[in-house]
Amino acid sequence: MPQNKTPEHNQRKKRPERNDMPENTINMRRLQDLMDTYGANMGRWPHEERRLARLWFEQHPDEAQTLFTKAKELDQLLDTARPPETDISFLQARILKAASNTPQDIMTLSGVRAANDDVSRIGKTGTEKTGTEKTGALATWKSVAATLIMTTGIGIGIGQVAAADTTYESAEALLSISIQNDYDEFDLNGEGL
Amino acid sequence: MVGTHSASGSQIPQSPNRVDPDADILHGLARGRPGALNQLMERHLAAIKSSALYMLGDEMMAEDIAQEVFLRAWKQAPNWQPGKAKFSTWLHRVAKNLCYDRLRKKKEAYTDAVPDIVDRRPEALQTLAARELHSAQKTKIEHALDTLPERQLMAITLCHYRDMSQIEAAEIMEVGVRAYESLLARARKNLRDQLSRHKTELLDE
Repeated sequence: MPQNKTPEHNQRKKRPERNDMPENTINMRRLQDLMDTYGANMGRWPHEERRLARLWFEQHPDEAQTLFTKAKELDQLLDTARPPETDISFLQARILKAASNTPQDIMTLSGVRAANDDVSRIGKTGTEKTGTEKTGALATWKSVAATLIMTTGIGIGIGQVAAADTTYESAEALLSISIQNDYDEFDLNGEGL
Repeated sequence: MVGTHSASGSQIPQSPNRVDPDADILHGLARGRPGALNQLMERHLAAIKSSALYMLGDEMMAEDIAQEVFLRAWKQAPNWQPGKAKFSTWLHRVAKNLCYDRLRKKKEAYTDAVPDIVDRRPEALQTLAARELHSAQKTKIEHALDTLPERQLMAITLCHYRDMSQIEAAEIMEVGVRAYESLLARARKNLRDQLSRHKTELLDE
């Protein structure tokens, strides 16, 4: 049985949303709202509202100046906290080195196929080698395990992840699976958004 | 060639609006090619590190976060199948969650460093003095940003410092566009309220 909204809810002050105005119109209240939300740089505004905003500003230059001046103040202050760009080449090298010692995870059938493609290309994987060949050796073992998991259905796998802890690690694994399979958030934890 | 592959290996055509610009790189990454990881970093490492830096205000922490993001990308690339979100959105989401974790730990550590019973050991006093010195040296803007709730800080970071579109930022934050706009509006209001008494001083510097 749907709940009726209370009188208090209906009387709540509404922010001027885009959908409240007729098509191809914009007013000062909406422009103020955009300034308060995004600042004075119109490049950050919703794309569909920039043209209308420019037209309005051309017709109301004095009001436009007032709106922009106030919003620019905070933008300028925020810009003072912008740190300088730093060289990332050392960080890039560090990550590459760390990755060379990090095996890739293989959970899905496509991952198994990709790993098996590497394995068959490399050949026998009994010997311990570095880099891709080491990944290939790991992939062979994991491809068998992954195939067994896949035959019991990915839903059980997700359930097992969801039943674990609630750290960002497991949430991230769920997110990864959900993005891959286009699940919406409702499906993941059984609760509404 | 840009495209996606089903489990059977056949190519699935994607609508032009949904082609992931990193599709080719991901193809190589899934096969464990370090060159693909390098390409991915050339495209996104600076942005990821920059976002983490704005959130955390600490370069070493930001670099640790960035490293963790790309190592996770490396590890999980074989499992990636194109869906609704771009891979870069996933990268930013992982960075966002890692930043939230660090911010919470940072706040807990700061709270822990101010004991109820004064610890007069030299090393404890040195830590407290260092924190006070660091705090005094931070700009008022950074102080104001530090006081924002983490989701408002993330909204400001993505909009003002990363120049991301509303849709992309909302996807990264895993909220609707209206919810994202609400966070952004509240963040700017909170900053204006805090900074209003320092406004003249800062603009005259």
